[in-house]
Amino acid sequence: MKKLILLIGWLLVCFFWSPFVEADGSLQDRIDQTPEGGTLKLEATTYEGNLVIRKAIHLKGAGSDQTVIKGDGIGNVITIEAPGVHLENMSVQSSSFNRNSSEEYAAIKIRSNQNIVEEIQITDSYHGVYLSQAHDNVVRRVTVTGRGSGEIAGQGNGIMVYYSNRNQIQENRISNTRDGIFFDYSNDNEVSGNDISQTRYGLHYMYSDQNRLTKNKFHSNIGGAAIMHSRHSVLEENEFSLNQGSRAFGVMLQSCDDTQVVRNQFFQNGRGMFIDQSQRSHIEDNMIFHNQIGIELWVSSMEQVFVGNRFVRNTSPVITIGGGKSNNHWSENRKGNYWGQDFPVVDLDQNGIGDSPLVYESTLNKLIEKNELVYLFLNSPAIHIYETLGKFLNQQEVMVEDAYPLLDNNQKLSYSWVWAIVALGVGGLWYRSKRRKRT
Amino acid sequence: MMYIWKEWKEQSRGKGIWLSLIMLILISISVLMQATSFPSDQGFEVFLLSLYDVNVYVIPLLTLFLASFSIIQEKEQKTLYFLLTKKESYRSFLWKKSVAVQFVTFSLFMGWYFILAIPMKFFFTFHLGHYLVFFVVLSILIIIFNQIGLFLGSIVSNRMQLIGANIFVWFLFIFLFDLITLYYLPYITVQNMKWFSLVYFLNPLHTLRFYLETSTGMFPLEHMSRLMEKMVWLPPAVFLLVDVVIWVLSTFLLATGLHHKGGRV
Repeated sequence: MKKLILLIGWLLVCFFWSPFVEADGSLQDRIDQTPEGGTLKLEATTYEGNLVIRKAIHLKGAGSDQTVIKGDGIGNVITIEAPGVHLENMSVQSSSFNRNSSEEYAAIKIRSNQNIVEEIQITDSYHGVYLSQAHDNVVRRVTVTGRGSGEIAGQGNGIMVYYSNRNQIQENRISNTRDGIFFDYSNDNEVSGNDISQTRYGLHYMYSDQNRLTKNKFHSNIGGAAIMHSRHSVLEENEFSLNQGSRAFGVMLQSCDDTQVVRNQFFQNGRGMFIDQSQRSHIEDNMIFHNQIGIELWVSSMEQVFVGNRFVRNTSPVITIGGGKSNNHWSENRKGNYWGQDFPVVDLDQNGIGDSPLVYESTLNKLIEKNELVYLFLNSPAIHIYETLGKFLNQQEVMVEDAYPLLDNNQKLSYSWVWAIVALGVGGLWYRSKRRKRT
Repeated sequence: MMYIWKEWKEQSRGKGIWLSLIMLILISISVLMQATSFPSDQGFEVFLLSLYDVNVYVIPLLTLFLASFSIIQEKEQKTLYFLLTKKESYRSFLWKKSVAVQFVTFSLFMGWYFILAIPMKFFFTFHLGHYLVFFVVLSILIIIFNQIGLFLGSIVSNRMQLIGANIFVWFLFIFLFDLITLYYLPYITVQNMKWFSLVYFLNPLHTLRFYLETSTGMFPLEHMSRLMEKMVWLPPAVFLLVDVVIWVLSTFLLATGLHHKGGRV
């Protein structure tokens, strides 16, 4: 009898418990009753999830702060199974955080092609938007806010792109998640205009080729964009700033081939770029300024071309690590890079190219190779003395040899100092004359 | 109160404190001008950090000289002799003198940084919390180096010695400490990390910067490496508190204990 009761109890549990719990009647029914291609307008209220959309409909909320789809915390909140679904103007929250399941849960899981997800606010969910073998989708103006604390595995990614190609990920705002956007075996995607902060890696590519990354902002992460085992990626006009920490970087290229890094800004990062085991990257016209290390280049990387980049006020513009001579090029077609005022270059013929090659030497490479904690000292005034001592003791190694260093002849002089001194001088004279009058 | 008034009269009649203030104003304006061209939305935090980095060179030097010369002046003008004959111990004198020096330099210098908040509000997206952190950091910087200056002024007997001592202490904190640590860096492992951490955070310049960086969100404490987790084994605010207690208290106690050895009053 006991066994029978236990069996019935177990069957009841199995019957009622499922990771794919659907919404309590009404909204799921309304979705199911909406005709193919039809629009379902949602009121400014909170609906209970979870929802599964199995036909091409337009689900339109009253606004991301008014219409809320709240999951039950044991599955995906909204699952899109059919192609051609359009989801907009709502807030989605409370997906499962269960990591013992075979499935990784998300606020919005897309399993089909050609869907549009836009103007959506996501909170309290493991992954924000999950594209699983989903192609040609648009994810636009979605805000994902993660929990931002706890162990790294307990946090999901803002947008997860898994075996998904040709998607457009535009103008999203992601913060406090594990990674901002994670690409795994996904090719030909376009990522543009996104703002990603306070994550581990703002963008993380693994085994993903021909992806294009333009006009995004990555700030206050451990790493701006970590591009690994990927080919033919293009990074254009992005801003990587304030990625600080002992392991921080703006962009990391690891085991990547044929990457184009063009016209980006690297500002106030631990390392502007970190390049390791990568081949044939073309790094052109980037602004690399106020970083601790401009570029950290491991000699396992071959045939990189650096041209037209502007290095300004980095503690060290380039550090080459790994010993031996690397086969990387600091100029192309008689055009090198700008090295800033810290490296005086003579240009007697006024053609904008230095008359002699620029050679930059440093001792920091040996320290960095041995201990990551050296990054705690890179802002220290002592680092310049350490470098000078290394020079006198002949311990420096060549980091960069630019045969055609560029000069910026149009650079404007800053007159702020002069104005400040004049203003203070006038103030001082006025005060003195006033004091004299009194006495 | 009498000591504060006396200190203010003496300092304001001299040129030192005014020249120091002018230097701080010039530096702040210069950094402000540079920071306005920064592209990031976080320009305000970058400005605060840049201003701190420049002040690290200047404030310790200025406060060391101002505080230590304030004491040596008492010795040279024999006013210390008169003060100590009036039933006042050196400890009591040093306590009142410390309060007076701290009050005068603090109110003048921090008064400027308070005024500087106005242009900050125009040029950047002003975050009051982050500004207050910066304010606290500079205040502690001033307090610690004032107290070290008072200690130096107490233990030396003439101006020449004092100039040498001030420059040495400044050089020690700004350059020598880090230079020695850098040479030992390759030998640091997870096993001896706690010792290294103690030594590193004993330097108030490191602790103050780390506190500023972490409190303004510039240096995230999440996702740190194992080595860094071992390094930051206490919250940055606690490291800072320990530094304040150690440096202010130890220099005060040492000054009361050692003042006779160097100072001839």
